[in-house]
Amino acid sequence: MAGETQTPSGPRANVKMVIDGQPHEFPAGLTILEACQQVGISVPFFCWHPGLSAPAVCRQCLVEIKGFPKPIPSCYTPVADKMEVFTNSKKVLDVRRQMLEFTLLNHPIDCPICDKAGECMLQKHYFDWDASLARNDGSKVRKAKVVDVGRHIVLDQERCILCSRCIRVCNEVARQPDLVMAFRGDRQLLTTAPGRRLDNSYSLNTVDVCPVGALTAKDFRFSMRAWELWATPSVCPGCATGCNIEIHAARDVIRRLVPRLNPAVNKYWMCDEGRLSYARVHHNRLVAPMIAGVPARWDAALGEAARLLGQVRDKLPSILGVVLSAQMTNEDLFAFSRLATEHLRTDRVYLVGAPEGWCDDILVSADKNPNTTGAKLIGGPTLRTAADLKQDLETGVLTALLLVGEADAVGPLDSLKILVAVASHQDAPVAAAQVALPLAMWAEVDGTFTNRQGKVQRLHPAIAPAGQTRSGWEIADRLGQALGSALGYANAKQVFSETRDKVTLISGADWGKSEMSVQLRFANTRG
Amino acid sequence: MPLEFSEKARQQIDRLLTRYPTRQATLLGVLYVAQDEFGYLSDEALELVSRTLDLPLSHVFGVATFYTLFLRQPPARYPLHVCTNLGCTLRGGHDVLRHLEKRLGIAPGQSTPDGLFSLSEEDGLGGCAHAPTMTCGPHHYVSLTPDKVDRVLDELRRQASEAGSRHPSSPPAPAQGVPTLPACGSTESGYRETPGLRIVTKNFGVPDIQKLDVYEAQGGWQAFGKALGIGREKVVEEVKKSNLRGRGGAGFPAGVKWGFLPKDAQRVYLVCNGDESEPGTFKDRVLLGGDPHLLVEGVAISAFALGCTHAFIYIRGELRREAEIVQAAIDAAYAAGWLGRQRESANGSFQLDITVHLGAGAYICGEETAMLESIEGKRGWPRNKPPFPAIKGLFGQPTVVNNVETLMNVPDIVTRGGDWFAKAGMGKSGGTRLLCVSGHVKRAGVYELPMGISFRELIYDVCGGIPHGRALRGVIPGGSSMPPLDASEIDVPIEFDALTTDARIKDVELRPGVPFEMGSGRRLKTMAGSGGVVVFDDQTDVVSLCARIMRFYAHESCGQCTPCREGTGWLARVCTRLAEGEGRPGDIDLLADVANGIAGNTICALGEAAAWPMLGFLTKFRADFEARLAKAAKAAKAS
Repeated sequence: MAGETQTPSGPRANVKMVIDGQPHEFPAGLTILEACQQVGISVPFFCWHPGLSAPAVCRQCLVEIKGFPKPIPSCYTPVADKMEVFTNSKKVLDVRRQMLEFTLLNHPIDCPICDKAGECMLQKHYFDWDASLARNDGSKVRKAKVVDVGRHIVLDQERCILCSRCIRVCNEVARQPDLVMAFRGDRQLLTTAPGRRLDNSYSLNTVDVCPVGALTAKDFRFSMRAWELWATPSVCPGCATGCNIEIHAARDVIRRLVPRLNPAVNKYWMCDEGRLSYARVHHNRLVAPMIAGVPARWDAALGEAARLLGQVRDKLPSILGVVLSAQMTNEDLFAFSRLATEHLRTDRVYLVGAPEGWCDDILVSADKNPNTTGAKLIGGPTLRTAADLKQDLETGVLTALLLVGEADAVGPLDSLKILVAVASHQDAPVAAAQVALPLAMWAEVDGTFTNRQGKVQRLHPAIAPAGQTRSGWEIADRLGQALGSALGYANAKQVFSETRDKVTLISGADWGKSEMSVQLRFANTRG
Repeated sequence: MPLEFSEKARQQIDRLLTRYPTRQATLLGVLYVAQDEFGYLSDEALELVSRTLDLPLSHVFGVATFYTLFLRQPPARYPLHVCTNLGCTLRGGHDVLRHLEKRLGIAPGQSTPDGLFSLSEEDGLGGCAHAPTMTCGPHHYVSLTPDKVDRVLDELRRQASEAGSRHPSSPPAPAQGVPTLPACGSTESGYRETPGLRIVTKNFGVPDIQKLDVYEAQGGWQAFGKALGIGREKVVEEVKKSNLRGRGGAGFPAGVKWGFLPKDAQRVYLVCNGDESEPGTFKDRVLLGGDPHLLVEGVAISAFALGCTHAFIYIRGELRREAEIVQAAIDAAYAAGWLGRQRESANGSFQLDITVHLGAGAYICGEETAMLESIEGKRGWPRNKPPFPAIKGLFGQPTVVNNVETLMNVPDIVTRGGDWFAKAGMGKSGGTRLLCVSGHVKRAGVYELPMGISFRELIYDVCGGIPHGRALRGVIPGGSSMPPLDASEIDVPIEFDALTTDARIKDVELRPGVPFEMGSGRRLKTMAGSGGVVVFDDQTDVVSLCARIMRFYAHESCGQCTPCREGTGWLARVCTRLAEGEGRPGDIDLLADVANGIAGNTICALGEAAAWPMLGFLTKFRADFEARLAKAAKAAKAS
């Protein structure tokens, strides 16, 4: 990907230098700003972004270097041997304040009605480094507000501090130059070309990188104050890429997904489609167990499901099928695989998933399932395909089915005598099922997905499971119990450990440490 | 139906494409072609350019809106551009503007309802010697008075009623009895002959010197032949010996600059900087039109010395007539085989191509890296340095950028030797100096003078002193970005080093007693700059003059980096309100503080160009600012 800052591989000499009187050693090729970040020295900046090229236009990161008459942009200047840098001299602090004053000069300072308030870099730097009264008692340069600049995005040209981060996201990440600077001087504007829109597939990343509230997401604006949100690390369920994300939620409602840095997967970015995929979590959910379309208690539903499935198993084991989905976590897949083998004694396990879609060579995979790799590893060589399932349903080989996960349109279900669905949404199979058990979704559970590269990546619950929904592994465990013996799981980690022991996933797959959700009020400024 | 180019326009574009190594680099030229074809650059015209060059529309749009000569609206039939920059503002430019506003009933930036006239305030049209001036179409009216303005308006109205509703295809005829500025090197163009040694203007006064055979009869192109014979190392050596210093503003030794090129460079570019836009400077206009072949020969010799096979001459968009004269000279040199043909030299065969690149209305493109971006077909945004152009310049290759006047000295350095040139100068500054004198002097104009003449000699001896028996108040020594001198400082020689060090010049201060520091403890006096000497008398409203300078830099800031983009506008607004008697307590300290916050913190030197004169005016004429502020306070109290 263009624009990434990458230290060239191979051994490189270290440089020895001094920052604020302290000796340090850094690998060559680092910028002064990155070096400062490594040793915990705070140097404010706006236009620099670790995933983009460095134009050094905001001048906020200026530092002093001994022997240089003028302050130097630390974002642009590489570290060098014997260099002596000052980030907190009187001169630097004066310049830092001056640059902030310039940046704020024509900014509307409308924080009370700005979506970015609370996570705005300008707001943060102002309180950290200046916090003095405005000296501009004259008029400000007026520009357009509420510009409908793209399908997902609204632009406020007055708030824009012209840092060009969004332009670089379009040029360097999305590789589609939708945004541009027009005019010049303090009349300069961020805009699109006449008649054109900010409509690339990665447009919402411009909102993430915008250091102020100039670019806001239509999906999010005015819905929630940033500091009320809780951030939970997770993985995007939109495709096989498995972009690392944070789920931002409050009071059990997801408000937005934002990308989380993973240099090996998605770097700082994610696609718009994935980002907006969270809407499904709150839409048309199956929230209670059902028996023949009527809400029932969990115990009753489990009992009925076990009775129906047990009946089939004991009579004609060959006609019972179990359908798993590549949308499920590794843990759910493993637990239901065990249930199929040990309790239902069938080898007719099918893997289905969302149909293939569009892809690019940036982040988007054609495989729209987050866990195809994991499902195939867990299912092993006997795993049957969606085509097998369709055929078996059409030819009437199958007469009973345990359908787990998101499994819309698997094939004609009318030939089935028995259908038990474990499902997250009120879709067609649920309506046709004798018993439907409500399944918690990716944002509600602990677990892992294995992405297209074979990386096992961790999900954390960001919100409480909707209604009476439960994790798949737990439903499998309880269903096992109703069929005679529980699988014996108390939590997802236990399932994971057993999965790792029994299935060759990937060497070194790790459950990782469980992370708490953090309220953004206590997090550092994003961006 | 989408717009299409005519056959003629397509041929022009094809020709442009042969003159640049990349398609994108033709963008400014193609935008001109589109504007000439369609009258202005509509959205459809930009789409057409984008399609033609296969460039993103966003890029085309960003470039088209950066340069002020590209029109996004249909122009009035007679667009009137009135200069109100230094030379003109000191000699009644604002009176002309106000008169036009009254006569036409519109403000600058507006058009009359009948679509006949539009009015705009311009930043220097290069006619400073004959201020005040205004242009309409190809005509550059000079020495204007309200009466002459009326004559122009009447003539244009007459022509309009004759033409009826037809939009005339030919440009308006000039108004009788109103002087206009010719483009060649005559006295009327602003050049004034001097009795002493003349190097760059040696051929001025020779009739038809713009013709190649006349130029050759004067010994033209012989220096190029000599250079090829002695070899490039020898040419570089002579230029180093000559103490030739850059005439664009910084006064950097040209030979040293040439020496920065990597020895093993495969491809090298030479760019001649003719984007002269510094208020008070109008020598390039005179030189380009006056002796274009000398420039072409100077470029050719320098290109040979640098091992460059493709040179560019960047000419300010406002000087389109002069650019055409230079292009004609280049065409003649191609036809004669001086250019575009292999020639034997001491270093093997050498062949040079020269491309004239027309700017489009952006002062910042005089900054060398902004100029390179502009040639590459981009917005004129200066680059971060390092890398410097000598390492990574035009199209990513090692590049030298030299001023027009600088390169026009090179043929004589080759002919007569570096030592001769050095001796003709003063101290570490070789040769003569072109000085553009405007403002309150009896004989304004461009003079070629000995290096080291003092301001006093220049003003009183050469230029005949101050008109109307008035006294001198101050001098801007080298274009508006250089701190001014007051009347007590004019005995200093006009030479690069003297102006930065002479003890007779006071240090520029942040506040009384607190010197302004340029970093590492360096103090600022002033600099020789571009040779634009602006003289103002004791009746001058110094605060308004300073405010006009500040508005210029605010208008010309490229917008890329924060302190300049925001700070220049702030300086302009506060200084203007102060000048208009609306100043507020603390405004003087605020101006100094804002200027100090810009200087040294920007990507390029435009930050200093705005901050230095602000601090300079406050240092030298603080009492004027204080008096204006006190008057404002008194008025506020009374109301």
